[in-house]
Amino acid sequence: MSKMWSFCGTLAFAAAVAVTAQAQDMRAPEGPIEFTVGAGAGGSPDVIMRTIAQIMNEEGIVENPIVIQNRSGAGHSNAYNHVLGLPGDENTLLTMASPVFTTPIVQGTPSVVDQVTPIAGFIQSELMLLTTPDSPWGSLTDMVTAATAEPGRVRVAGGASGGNDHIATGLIETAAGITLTYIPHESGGAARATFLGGNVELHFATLAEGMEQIAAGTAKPLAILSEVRRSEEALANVPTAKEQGVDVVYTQFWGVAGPAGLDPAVAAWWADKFRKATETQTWQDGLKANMQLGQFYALDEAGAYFKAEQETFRTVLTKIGLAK
Amino acid sequence: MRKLEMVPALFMIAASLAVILGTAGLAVWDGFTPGARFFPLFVGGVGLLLAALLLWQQWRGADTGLVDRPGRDALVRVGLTVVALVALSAGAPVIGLVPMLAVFALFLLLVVLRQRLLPSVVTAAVIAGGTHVVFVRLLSVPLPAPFGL
Amino acid sequence: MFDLLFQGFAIALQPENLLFIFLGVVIGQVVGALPGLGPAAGMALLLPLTFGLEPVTAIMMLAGIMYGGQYGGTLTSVLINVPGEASGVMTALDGHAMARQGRAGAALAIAAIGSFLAGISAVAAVALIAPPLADFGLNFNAPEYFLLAALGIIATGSLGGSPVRSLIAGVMGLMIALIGVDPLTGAPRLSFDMPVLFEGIDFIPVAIGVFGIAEVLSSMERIASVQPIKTRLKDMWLTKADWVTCRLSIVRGGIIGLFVGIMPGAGASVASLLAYLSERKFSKAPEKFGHGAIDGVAAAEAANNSAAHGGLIPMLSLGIPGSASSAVLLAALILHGIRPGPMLMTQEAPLVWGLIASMFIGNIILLVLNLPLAPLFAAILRVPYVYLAPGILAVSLVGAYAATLDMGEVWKCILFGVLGWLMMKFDIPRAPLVLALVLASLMETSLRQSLLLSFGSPMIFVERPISAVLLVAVLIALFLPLIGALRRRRRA
Repeated sequence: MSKMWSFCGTLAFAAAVAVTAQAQDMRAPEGPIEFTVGAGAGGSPDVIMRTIAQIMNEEGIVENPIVIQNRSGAGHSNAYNHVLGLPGDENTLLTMASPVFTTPIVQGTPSVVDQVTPIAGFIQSELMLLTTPDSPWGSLTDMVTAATAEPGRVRVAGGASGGNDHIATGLIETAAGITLTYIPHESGGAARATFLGGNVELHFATLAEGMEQIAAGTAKPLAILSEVRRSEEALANVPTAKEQGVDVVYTQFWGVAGPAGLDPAVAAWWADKFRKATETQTWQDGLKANMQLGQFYALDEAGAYFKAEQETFRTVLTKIGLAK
Repeated sequence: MRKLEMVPALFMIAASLAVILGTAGLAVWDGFTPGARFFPLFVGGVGLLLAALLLWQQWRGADTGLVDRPGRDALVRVGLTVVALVALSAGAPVIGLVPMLAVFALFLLLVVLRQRLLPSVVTAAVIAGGTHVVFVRLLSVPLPAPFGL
Repeated sequence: MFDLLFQGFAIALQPENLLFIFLGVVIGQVVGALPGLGPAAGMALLLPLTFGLEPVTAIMMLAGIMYGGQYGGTLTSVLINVPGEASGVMTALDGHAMARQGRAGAALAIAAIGSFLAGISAVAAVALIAPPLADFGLNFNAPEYFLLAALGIIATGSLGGSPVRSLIAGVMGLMIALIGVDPLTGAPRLSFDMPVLFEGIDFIPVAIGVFGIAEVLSSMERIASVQPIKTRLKDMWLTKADWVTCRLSIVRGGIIGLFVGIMPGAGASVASLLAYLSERKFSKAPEKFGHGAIDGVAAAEAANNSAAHGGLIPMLSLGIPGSASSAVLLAALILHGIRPGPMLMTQEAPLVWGLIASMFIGNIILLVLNLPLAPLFAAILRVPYVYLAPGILAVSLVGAYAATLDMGEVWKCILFGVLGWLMMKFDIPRAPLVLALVLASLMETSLRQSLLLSFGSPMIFVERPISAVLLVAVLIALFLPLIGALRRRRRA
């Protein structure tokens, strides 16, 4: 596992260099654009795509009017099947979120990543592991000790089965050699209610959510699942899982891809526009406010990045018995 | 007549068996908790029980349910309406939802319900036009419209 | 506290804000009245329109769509028997029966008054005691949800003439809910390798089909003789007797709705079902329930509106959305650069209090709009039914499509329309099916979550105080009718 993660790191560096050097034929699509989102209105991918579409249109980066279509349900398969059914279409982009990768693995259908035209990966969100404020544990090590003594007695409240929280739980179990009890919920909000009600020991949160809870005194951080600590004052003393001997680095990520057979010139045009949008002050401010990362991968780099992530998902889902 | 009365119970039995057999292979118990098949078995079991109860009640004459058997003309009208609904859904992606709605309304009013021409045309226009204004213009929902309408 | 509320009113009463509150509630009313498009879908569709606005204005307008949608949903439930969302099923039951008796106006009026009173009270609760209520709501979790859902499903047996027939309909609803991916293990279940079935079957196409389309198919049988429903003007309005019957129903429905609303996992459909059932216990004429009981409409509407407003309590004080529509509202906050969470009420006080004040104002606007318009809306039923029928079918199918942009949903509507028609012909009540479908996943998921929480020990249902009380209620609901039946048998 760790080998693969360092591979991702190298890739990130390579991508950052490659994007600036790239010059390619570009052609703009004509007419209105649809960003297809597999989540309902209000989900993270929906918020991200609406934000970037708004920036693109308002700051004149993209002239074509952009609409967000929520084709929600069925683990994003309504959305990706819609885009897969439009080969060569220049007016529809698919939002790449983790269910686009995990749903085919769980349902045993052909991988989506191998069929679409990757355009960009442009935003990542780190996760932190929280415990209840009155918990005796002061660190991830304490939790691992407790879970080793009594396997399966430590409970995690998380989102849907096979979702990001479940995958992070699986990675921690493997890296620390422990067994946790994962309790899936219909939504992240429902899981948080279970955690805040004091029913379980552990819960995953994005940094921004976690910060709010720590500030309100309703949660205590155990670890951040990143390569390095955050620099913000409030989080600077939260150690990474790696520092505490649990070799897990896991971040959520989002990107976009076009249908199969999309003209490379149009794909390159989109990659350029996404890069320009992410360089705006509005976008950077948003990243800062939500404590998200903005590493940018374009075209082939994005494709390689997506494929590497897909392998992580497959490994973990196989381990927790969900892969078909 | 008695045979027709038994349809709900027989349907329930068939559905219960489908649920019980269709979930074969899933775990009934999974570690601490009921597994994916637990609830289906429970629901299927209750379904069989209720079906048996209903048959028993009917046999004793204690059931209050009444089967309403529509006449032939009525059945034809219901059947044609269902056919029209199916045609509407099948035609919408090919021809466009709004024009199909107009055709659908005209078919129902003129052929199934035998109404006069003028009010039927007005109704069809109101339905198709209203749908276009509310859904496409106001709510900007992309209704199927391969020819732009 | 009151300073803050005054500040809130000062913000909400600014002309621009007032205009957008008005627009929000009107749009909500319209969208809510389209079958299939509930408040959540309506808010999502109109979210992009708010991007140019100040955050507080945008949130006020979106919230207006949310509770305006609750008022609008009543229209379709009462007039054409299509509940636009799960919380409208109970309203449709008696409201549509009233409409058939020519009393649609009265049903709409009491629904508007009940929604208004309960909505205003719930907003007052949000203003005064949101944080302690939110903490109380956290005491409800998987074990309590399981027992609540079980209570609801058992109670569906009493919705209709014959308990066995009602329960059969309930079991059909449970079976429909089983289709799709198992929520806990992610294993495909009863999907028979058909991709359409992987995602399971949503409430909307079932409700539209089983209620709306089935209703039209059934009237197609004798369409030539279907007269427009006689609506005399004097029947359009509430009588004094109506008001006396409904006063306390609204109070009780509102309280139940508020409590269910603050539970982050239950939602307005559970609220209206529980309110309806408890109202039948209180009613002097319980036999009228299901056949046009105005107190049933009042309680159900009061409960679902107060649950919709109460759902803002966990959202504002904990950052946990209690329903689909509050999830969209949370997303709107994020899109406008505001981080929801436990600190929201202190850090963004002007916004939160402006929103609270706007909900007082919006509910008043809705009442003023709906009361005079109730007879007008009811007058739609004076259109000859032959011309209404194609319109109802069209708007039902288009609504189902618009909510998901998936033709599959339209096909499901037709399928369930035929099923609903067959149920009518074979005298199987339809409401239990739809309610059981809504409650099934709550029941199954929370049973399994409970046992995961307790590592397999069923004692979790007894050890938690609220859960223990609910368990007693479930046992009573389960065994009282059986004991009653046995006693009657012995006497006979």
